[in-house]
Amino acid sequence: MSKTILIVDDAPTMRQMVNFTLSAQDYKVVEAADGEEAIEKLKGGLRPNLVITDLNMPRMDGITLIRAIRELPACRFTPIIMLTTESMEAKKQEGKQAGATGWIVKPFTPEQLLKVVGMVIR
Amino acid sequence: MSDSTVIDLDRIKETFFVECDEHISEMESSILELEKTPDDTELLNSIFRAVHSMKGNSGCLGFMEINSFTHTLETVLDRMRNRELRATGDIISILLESVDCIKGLVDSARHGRESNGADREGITGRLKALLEGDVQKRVEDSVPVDGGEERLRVVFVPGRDLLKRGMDPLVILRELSTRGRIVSIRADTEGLPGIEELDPECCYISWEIVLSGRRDVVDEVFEFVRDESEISISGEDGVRGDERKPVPDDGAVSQTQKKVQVRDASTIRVDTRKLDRLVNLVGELLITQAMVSQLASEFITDGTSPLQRVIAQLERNTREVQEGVMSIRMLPVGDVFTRFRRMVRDLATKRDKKVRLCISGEDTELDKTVIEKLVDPLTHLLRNSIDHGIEPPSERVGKGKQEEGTIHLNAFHEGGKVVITVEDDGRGIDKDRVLEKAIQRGLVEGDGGLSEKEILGLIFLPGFSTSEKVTDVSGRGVGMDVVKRNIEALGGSVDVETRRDEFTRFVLRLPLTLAVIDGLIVAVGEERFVIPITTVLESRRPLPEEVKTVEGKGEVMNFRGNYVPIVRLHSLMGIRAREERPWQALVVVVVVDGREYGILVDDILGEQQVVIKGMGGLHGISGIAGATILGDGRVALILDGGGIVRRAFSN
Repeated sequence: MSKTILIVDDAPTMRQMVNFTLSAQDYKVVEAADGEEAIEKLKGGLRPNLVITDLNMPRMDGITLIRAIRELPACRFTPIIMLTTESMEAKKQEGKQAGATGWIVKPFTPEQLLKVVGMVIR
Repeated sequence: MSDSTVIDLDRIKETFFVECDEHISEMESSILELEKTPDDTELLNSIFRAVHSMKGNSGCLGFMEINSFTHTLETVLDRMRNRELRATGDIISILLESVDCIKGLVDSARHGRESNGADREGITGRLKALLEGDVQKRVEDSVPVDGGEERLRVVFVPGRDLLKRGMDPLVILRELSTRGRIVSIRADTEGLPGIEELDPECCYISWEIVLSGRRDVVDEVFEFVRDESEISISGEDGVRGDERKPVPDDGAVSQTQKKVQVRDASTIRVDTRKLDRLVNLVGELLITQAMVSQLASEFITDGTSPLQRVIAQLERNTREVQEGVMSIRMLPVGDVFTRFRRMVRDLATKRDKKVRLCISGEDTELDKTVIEKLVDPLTHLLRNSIDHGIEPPSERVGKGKQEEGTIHLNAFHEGGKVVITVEDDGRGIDKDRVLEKAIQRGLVEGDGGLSEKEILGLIFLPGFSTSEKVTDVSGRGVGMDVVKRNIEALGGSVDVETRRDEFTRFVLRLPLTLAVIDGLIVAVGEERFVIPITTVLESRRPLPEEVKTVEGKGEVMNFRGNYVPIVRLHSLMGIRAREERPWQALVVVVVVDGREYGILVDDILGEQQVVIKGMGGLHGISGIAGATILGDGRVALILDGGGIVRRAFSN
């Protein structure tokens, strides 16, 4: 069974780019436009093998989302990759504290994305 | 590649183009801001981010021209961020030209055309010239220096809480096996506590792996776990000289973390045709609701009837749905306003004038269609201000004014309308010259005995121009009348106020939307017409002696001491009126192009908001602006005052 990846980003281009890249590798991709939408999906029974999330988003930002995901019993050990811009060292630390598994610095190439996904997905 | 992936890619590209447009306009306005405050790091960062994002996305999508150009531009911007280059006027100009170049490249990519290579070469050359002489400090997309494979001994002691961040040591071991050839793995279970103390959610085991591979590639595997784990990678000879602690990667500007402006609401992009359809449907809904109300009113006699209450409820709901749908089409005028910054800057430079554009009220919302149609009139008014209003710097200094002129572009709500003002602090409009010119051109007879306001109104007449010098953009006399006509076509109005050597202010009043207008419902014979309320001055039944027939002017009516021409709607529309004598019927006085006309109708039935419906192929019938359906289900034509008058007096 193909693995499911949830991509959370408010930028449609980013979601589509991630979706396009991962779908081509036979991952099943689910999109959410912000943290709240992501949480709704997870509470609705979605069990992704990996969550990729942006940090700056309206409604619920990435850090809050990461914390909220770790609160969900079913998602305590789900790998989470955060998308950071440039190199936000402080944000990265904050994300790790919140429970993020890894990160990828935007912009990234499809190859870089696949590499990072490969490093954390189970 | 299957069909669906092709389509997907097209969609992604379309999204990319739309985002590019946003980045481009953001860049442009930020660059113009930067000119004023060259040391503003936030601005530089925002320009940098826009370029950065276009670079990344264009690369992913294979638009290599955009990618390589934005890469060069990004390098320059990075220099600027590092304070190695300063935003001087020259650099600002080069940056603006770069924006144009990106625009061109994006446009070419969008339409699948060849881009103009010469332009790009030119500007790329100038960008590179900026970089020359400097030491290339930038860390280029880090290419590993050493590519040699070697036999490595890796000791990995995972952080105890690794699992809680969603990381699994086994995933790391799996990943290691893909990056090198594993010779041996040994698990060290020394750290395991007794069963009663064991927390199954913690890591206790560590590993020692011997593999052959490239050190940098192997090291990368631990990227996400190095902070809390103990990792050592050494040559197999056992020299443990490589104890690693995290190095903050790509150290570019981590301190200048800017609070990125997050849009306060999440948005979706919708095809405007879908919106138009929705607006149309709401129109139908309004009409149906009006019909239901009308039908119901025929057998409701008791004001407390439940039906009455439900109808009232329906009316409220319909109104809310209408407002909701209309609001979807509303956009802030700021998008259009900021476009002008560039134009004002360029034009002022061309004319050797110093002009500052102040913008306020950019959050004021207007219907998308109205906004689009505003661009031309506003462009014209701004050009006029720069060409004719703002004086050259020397003249301004002579007058004791600031060398730099100011044009203020403002938008605000006022009484259900949106008001946009364009005000400059230039020389003002010379009323004497306006009058003189108008007489010269035969637009006014004699000295006309005109009031100041009327004199100013002359500048809106076709064929009027006071400029001594014809410039390439204004001063050909094809200006203000077109502005006025365009604004009036939107159901709006233009006024001008001025004071000599102090200011000129154009005031544009616009309806919030084009889809609904306030109309006066009139009856002529069996037909119903709608006259837009904005044009109506008053209606009256004249006395028989107030109506005269004047040679060469036709039928006129005495209105407030003036004779206004009467337009007989029934004869114009070729229908029968119930009453042809003005003193038995009604005359609705409308203002068209600043002049008053009387429209002869049988009766006035009321005032109501009507939904403008398209008339399919019947566009461009002079005198008719559209059609609507009234509450009783009848179709009524919406009159266009200007068209009616032109049609009535064309012969």
